[in-house]
Amino acid sequence: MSKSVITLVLIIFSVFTNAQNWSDKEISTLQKFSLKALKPSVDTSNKYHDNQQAIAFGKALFFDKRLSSDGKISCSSCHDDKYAFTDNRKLAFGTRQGFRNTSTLLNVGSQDWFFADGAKDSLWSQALSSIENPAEQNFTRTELLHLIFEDVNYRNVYQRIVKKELTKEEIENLPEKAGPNSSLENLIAWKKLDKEQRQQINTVFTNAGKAIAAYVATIKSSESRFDNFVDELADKKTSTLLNDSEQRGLKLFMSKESGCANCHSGPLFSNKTFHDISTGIPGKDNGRSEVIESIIRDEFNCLGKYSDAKPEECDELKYINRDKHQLTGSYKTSTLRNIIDTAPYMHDGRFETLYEVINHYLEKSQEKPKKNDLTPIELNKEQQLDLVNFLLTL
Amino acid sequence: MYKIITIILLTCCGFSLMALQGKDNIDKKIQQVSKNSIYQSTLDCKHPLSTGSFQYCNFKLHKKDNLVKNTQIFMSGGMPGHDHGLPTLPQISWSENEQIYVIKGLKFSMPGKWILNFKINASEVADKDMISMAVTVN
Ligand code: HEC
Ligand code: HEC
Repeated sequence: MSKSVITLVLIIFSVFTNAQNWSDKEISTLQKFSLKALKPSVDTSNKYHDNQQAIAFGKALFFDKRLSSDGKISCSSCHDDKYAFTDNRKLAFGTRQGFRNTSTLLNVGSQDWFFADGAKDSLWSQALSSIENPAEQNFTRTELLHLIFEDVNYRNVYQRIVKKELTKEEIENLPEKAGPNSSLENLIAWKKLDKEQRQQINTVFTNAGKAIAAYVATIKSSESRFDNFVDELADKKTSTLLNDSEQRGLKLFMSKESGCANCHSGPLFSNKTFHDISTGIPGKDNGRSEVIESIIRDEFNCLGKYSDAKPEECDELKYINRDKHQLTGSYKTSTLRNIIDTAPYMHDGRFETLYEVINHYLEKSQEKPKKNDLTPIELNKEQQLDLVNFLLTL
Repeated sequence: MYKIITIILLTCCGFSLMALQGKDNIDKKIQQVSKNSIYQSTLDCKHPLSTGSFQYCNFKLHKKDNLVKNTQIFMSGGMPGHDHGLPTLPQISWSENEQIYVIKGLKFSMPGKWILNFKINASEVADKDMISMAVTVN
């Protein structure tokens, strides 16, 4: 009799003292991090965002290597679905070596800003910058126009989407290569065009960008082990879909002690804004502070004439933080989803492993005088292991 | 023996009760007097403050018992524990229709304690003052 009572008490005791006991409050917090909490992507600046024909056209353009100066590079060259839409390189390599690590495109439609410094405020203006970037596709606006016109399939589908014909007269007198972000020669050709011609080219250019963006916004991750765990936890108050170490890692991740969830919050495990975690490289790459002016001036931003948004739908741009001093060395909080497939890490791919990332936090958070947005983080070896094990479930 | 069991059981219950007690701190309507005690202010937000999306709040200003209308106010803020400012540049302006100051573009990037500052730039020099308000973001 007393033996069985003791066993019972021991069982009860082990349930209560088990670190993997989740309170209702904790569970409801975890649900805010679940993929189910991710709101559908909207982009009022892109009227083709949900247009099925535009999505199909955009997908074709995404994989089309003809959209590059050497005919060898497409978006998919760097954003390869085999590696969660990255390239697994330290730094991207297009028509030449770039200076940033390739970001994953999974769930990117739910971001507010694009690129590590948020240099673009929409997926379509982002796509246009990759097409023109001399280190990526190095293609010009008129080359794209000629390509869409001359490929009969492209021309037809383009015309069906925008409900307007591309006429021979519009195209035939345009130079083969011209664009404002290209070589001097192509820039001069661009300057020689009159304002109306440039606007007409920009319209086709931005429409193609909007089609690509409509496709990119459909790239989403499937539910991870973490999501399944949260579902079961909400249902049964307990779950073994994550093992002990992973659950301890999750607790730690959510705790004040680590502070990780201060910035890596919500279903993307990112608060989608900019922080200084001492990854900037003074004099070389200061992140967010360097792009504020160009975002405000960008002809392809939310408030510009190629945007389909009403001014009141451009709050992110209208209320953009302009404090360059505060933003020096700040980068967008990276999403941690699919982190197992997206190494190397940080905007410049400086770290090969998650242990190196955590070491960075341990070191930089203790620095005095304090120069970044981190509060002191101290974790022993076992806690580091738990944290990494948890991150790998995302 | 039973005594020990009872103690263990009581301890367990105690812990689980403690876990249940962590209650949400809901800040929706906050009042604060200005530094030089010239003004009383009320911040009234549509929802409890949270991270991730724009927050919709109104601001009311009184001097003695009179509503202070259409004066220039500058807003700033930050997180004292983390040495960083607001993630956006919110604007506060007088709304003739609603007879209240409307705040637009306010966002928070992290949960925790934030400070919001309202610099009252009244035309009378003697009426210039500053209001600092502590808010909790969930
Ligand atoms: C040469 C390799 C390369 C090519 C080609 C390329 N990208 Fe990228 N992409 C990158 C790199 C590198 C980044 C991160 C750059 C940064 O943060 O400054 C990036 C970032 C992005 C982002 C932002 C992700 C985020 O979370 O902020 C999107 C969206 C994107 N690319 C889409 C595209 C599309 C669409 C194309 C084709 C039109 C394309 N990329 C072509 C390398 C490439
Ligand atoms: C103050 C905000 C903040 C806190 C706190 C924070 N991070 Fe980050 N994290 C960032 C930012 C910003 C980046 C991107 C930096 C860059 O690209 O240079 C990042 C990047 C990362 C990356 C790299 C992701 C990738 O794909 O490159 C990992 C992994 C990561 N953080 C994990 C953590 C963990 C674990 C913690 C807790 C110990 C944590 N972070 C705490 C803001 C934060």
